[in-house]
Amino acid sequence: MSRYSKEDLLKLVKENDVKFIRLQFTDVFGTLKNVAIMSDSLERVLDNGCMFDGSSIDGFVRIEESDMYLQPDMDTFEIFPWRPQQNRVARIICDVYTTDGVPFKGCPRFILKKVLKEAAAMGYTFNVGPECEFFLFHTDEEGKPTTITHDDGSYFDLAPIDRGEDARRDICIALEEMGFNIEASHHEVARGQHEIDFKYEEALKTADNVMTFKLVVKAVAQRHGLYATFMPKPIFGINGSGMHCNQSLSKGKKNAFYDPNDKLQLSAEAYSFIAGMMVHIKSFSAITNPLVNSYKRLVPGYEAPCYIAWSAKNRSPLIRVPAASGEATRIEVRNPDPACNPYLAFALMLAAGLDGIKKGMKPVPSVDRNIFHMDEEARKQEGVDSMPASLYDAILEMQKNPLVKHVLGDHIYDTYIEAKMKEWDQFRIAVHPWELEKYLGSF
Amino acid sequence: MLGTRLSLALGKGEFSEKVKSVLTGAGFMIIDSALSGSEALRKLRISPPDIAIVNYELPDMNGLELAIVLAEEEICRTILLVPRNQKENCEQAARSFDILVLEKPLPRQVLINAVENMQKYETKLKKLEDELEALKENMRSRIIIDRAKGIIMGLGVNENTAYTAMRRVSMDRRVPLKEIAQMILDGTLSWKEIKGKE
Repeated sequence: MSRYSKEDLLKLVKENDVKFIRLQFTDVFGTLKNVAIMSDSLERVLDNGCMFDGSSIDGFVRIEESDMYLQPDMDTFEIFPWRPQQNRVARIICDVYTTDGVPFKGCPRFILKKVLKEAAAMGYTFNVGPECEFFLFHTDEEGKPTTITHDDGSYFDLAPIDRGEDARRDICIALEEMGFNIEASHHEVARGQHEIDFKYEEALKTADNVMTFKLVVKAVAQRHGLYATFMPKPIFGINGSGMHCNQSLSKGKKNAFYDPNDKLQLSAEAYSFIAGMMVHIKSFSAITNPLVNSYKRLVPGYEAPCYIAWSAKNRSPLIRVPAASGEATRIEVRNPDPACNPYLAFALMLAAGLDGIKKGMKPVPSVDRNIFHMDEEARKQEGVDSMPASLYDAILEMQKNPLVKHVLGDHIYDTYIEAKMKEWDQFRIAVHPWELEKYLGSF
Repeated sequence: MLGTRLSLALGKGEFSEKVKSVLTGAGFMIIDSALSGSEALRKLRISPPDIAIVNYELPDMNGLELAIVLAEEEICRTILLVPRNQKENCEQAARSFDILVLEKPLPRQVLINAVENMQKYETKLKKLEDELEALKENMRSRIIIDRAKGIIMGLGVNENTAYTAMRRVSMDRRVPLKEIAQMILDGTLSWKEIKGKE
């Protein structure tokens, strides 16, 4: 059921003194983009969309086919609480359409909707609850971000050790004013690192929420003189930032992952979903872990997963099954990081899980030992594979699996791989401070 | 108004040094200074001054944005120093927020007077706010006392007798009259008990 009609929106805009409306969308690489319209243009845009030059957006189209339309999703209308209270600013998330009136194949929101439709045809709704981590850093005299953390706090610390508490509180308040249901927030393990968890929703809404979350965190942090980053591993030697994704399927009102008769309370569908995820996860890690830097996080010793295994007991595998929770039964996929494009990440995780269900896959036995204490031979015996060690390896894996191309479509698949290869090449040929430190004095 | 605690967000350079020198020369206490808007936000949230002096030109944001955040979140009062071409724009934006906008270049005495006047205004405002709060508390007490009196008068006692008796119990027990009245309203102190004290 729709949240707002066109008349509702026009009324809300007038009653709340909204003057500016940001039409937001996400590009292929997970960057939030927007164009602002004045409130008196809203009715026209709701009726006809808003034209823009798609060739200026990375990964969209070439200049000769550049006209695109933003079609607002009215249910996503929200007023920014931290902006001025007169002549207020609101946003609406949009889908991207071509001039032919069809969804643009390079629109990540469309890709997720496609897979959700497939799940719906099988009777499922896909629910996701992410746990986003981020760092709060100081800026320098020019206002540029540094890696000086705002505090030296650790897991669950309070003020005064946790100096980010005030910023976190204001972030939660702003999110709640925008309709989020915040479950918890706390200081994380690494100094200057924080986590805010919001309630699971149906995957499209959650993906919208992740993009909104990142915007709000950055905006409110700036009001505190801080720079918030979702970079996965900004500081060597301490934990990095992940985006663990708690997920389940429901059928009608019932949790399709829950079977009270199973020892882990997991249904056959849940096991097949896990199996599908484990078979495919390596091949879309270039999406869930999209940066060169993402693979600096996926190393042993910092609570991040680097081996493909699942467990209900172990807290450190790639896929964790949280302790028996009845109707809240779910799996937690722990490798994604918050730099990813959530629409594409959720689309691929769902597609992988559904593939497992369609084929009736059974997962390999769970690994309840500490995998980090196992040598290569032991891991081989247990059937434990490793995640790609670099963005380059992740791209190679992506190219091996037809499921990924099928889900993303040719446009996003080709564009993404080309861009990520370029990114890898730039990294590969750059001379890094590590090399200077290691070699300059000796050679 | 010596003892007024100031923080400065002026950026780098000669102008910043001059302002600092004028204010310290006039005897004001500068508790902190920041080279950028972000640094100012971090410092002022931890140690709010009485007044922040903010330069419009900051390296990472314009001073008006900083001043508005300080006003919206009631961190401290702000004096914003702006170039001529920004004065009208800033005055318009600052109107809703009680931010004082001064045009650069400005004579040293104008700055000193602005700080002193702002602090006087702040002190007066605080005094008025305290008076208002006291009046409100007084009003709240009177309402409770009148309601308690009303309960006793409902038992056939005249107003003066009721009031005098409540006051006596208040003095005997060394608790405020409002508390005695509340106890009557809560039913934890009866007229019989009050009468018994006389």
